[in-house]
Amino acid sequence: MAILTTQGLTKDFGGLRAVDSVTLDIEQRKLTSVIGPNGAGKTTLFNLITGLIKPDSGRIIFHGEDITHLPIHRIIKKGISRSFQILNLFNELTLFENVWLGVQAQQGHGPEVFSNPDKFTSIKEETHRIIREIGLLGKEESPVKLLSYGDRRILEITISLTAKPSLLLLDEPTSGLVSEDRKRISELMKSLSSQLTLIVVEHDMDVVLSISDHIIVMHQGKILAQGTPDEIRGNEKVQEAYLGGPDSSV
Amino acid sequence: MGANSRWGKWIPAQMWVVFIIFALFPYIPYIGRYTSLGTEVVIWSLFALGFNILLGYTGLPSFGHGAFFGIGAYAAGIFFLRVYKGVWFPLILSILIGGLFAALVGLLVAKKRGIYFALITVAISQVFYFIAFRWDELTGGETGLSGIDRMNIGIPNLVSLQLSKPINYYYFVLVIFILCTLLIWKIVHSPFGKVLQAIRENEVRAKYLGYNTTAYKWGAFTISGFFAGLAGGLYTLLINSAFASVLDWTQSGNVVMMTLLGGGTVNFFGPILGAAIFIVSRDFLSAYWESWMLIYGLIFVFVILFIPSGILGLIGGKKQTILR
Repeated sequence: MAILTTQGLTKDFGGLRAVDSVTLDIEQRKLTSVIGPNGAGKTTLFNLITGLIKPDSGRIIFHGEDITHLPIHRIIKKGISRSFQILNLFNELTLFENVWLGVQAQQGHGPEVFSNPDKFTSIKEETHRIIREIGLLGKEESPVKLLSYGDRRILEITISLTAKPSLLLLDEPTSGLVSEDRKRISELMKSLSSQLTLIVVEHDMDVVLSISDHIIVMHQGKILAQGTPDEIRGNEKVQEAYLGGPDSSV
Repeated sequence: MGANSRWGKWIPAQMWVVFIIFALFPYIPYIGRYTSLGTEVVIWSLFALGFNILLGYTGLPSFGHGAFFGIGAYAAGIFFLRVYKGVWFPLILSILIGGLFAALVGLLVAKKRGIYFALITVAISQVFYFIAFRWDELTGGETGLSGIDRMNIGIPNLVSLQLSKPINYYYFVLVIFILCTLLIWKIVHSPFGKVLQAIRENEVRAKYLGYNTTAYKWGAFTISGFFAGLAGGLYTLLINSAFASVLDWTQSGNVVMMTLLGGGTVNFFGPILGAAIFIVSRDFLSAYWESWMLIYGLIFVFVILFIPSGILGLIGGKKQTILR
């Protein structure tokens, strides 16, 4: 069953139609990849779904509810979260603080003006559990800007998970990573896909073809094709537009 | 576990140092030249410390907070002259009215950022200035309000503290300052305070964690307005009068300068140091040269260019997070 549906989603930037009447269904507990050349409208689609920008027309339905006009923080509370293509962290704060802020938001303690954070053992324990899980224990006190790029990529995904989403959008989670770290992240995505619904924008076709249940190909703001990895591999239109012709080795 | 000491102690060592210095202030030669100068330092320290919740912690450059200082000053004066001659009630009113106006203005600016935020706060504060300047009936217009005496406080027939004596008033203000400093320390180290820092670092990401950042920015604006209002009320009682000049835009600029100069963006205590330097050096320099602001301006430019994190940023040696 579809957890997320978009109906005729359209967004113009000046004269450019970045997203052009996109209608799609995202199946629950599936990993859907969105691929397409640069400028195909993938990130804009993410920005629309998560409320960073509002569509010129069209609707977004999540769990049967119209979320098109909700502000970001309300959309997050409904169970959608995302990571960013360009690292988007609290750079001057420590690793611990970055994770803490996410856990604190999820547990709903943010508005407390006079509480002592030390008392929130549940936030503290959860924060430590998460940091242990991603294998960064011992680096809690480092300002995030001093962490390695690979660690920050992991953290980028991690803090989007602190909201405990049922739908997670990952925007180029492996971009700029060496192959070892790529493997680390694609394994993480695989294990996540058994627990929640994932939509992933990804350029690395090896990763895409190996982890996806469903692939959506975008081109010039429109959906060019969609289907299983095998169907996409065999699709001539896709090969011409994106994969580099029928002779390509992918 | 390191995490236990992460948020700092209730009263950290530096805070004791500040309190002790202020307690001895009237007896320090040269600096404590006369008592009301010390009182002014403490009042501006309070104003700047509250303002830093907004500037240093949330990263919102309000160039209009002098308005809430001034509104607090008038609120205390008007209430004193028209309703009740006392100390506590005028001060409570200055807190409430300062905070109320900040809350209202906050509604208009909380969605704004950067230069738009700065410009709108300047514009709104100018509106208040002209209202105060023109509304003769309420504010006394150009001549202002005077005759706002400091009444005695205490328990009737039992204890009485003569606040009209400058030294008594100094310590009265100092006690309020200490309470407010502890309160502000508590606020910036609370879950709420952490969200403010998250907004300063990256507002979009804070939204994506699920925080309604507009509401938090409004909250920070309003809270700093409460402290500005209180500082204004204390100032009215210090100079026994209220003039439209307390609402002047230079007041707003001064508190920004104090906060940045002392290092408010990297250190909790920065605004206090900045306020002390500003008020004391103004007093010294203005005695020798009427264009003293020129020297001060040059010092300020120098600090911003070469030690952008402020004086305490220099001593600290590195940019630290405010959570410590």
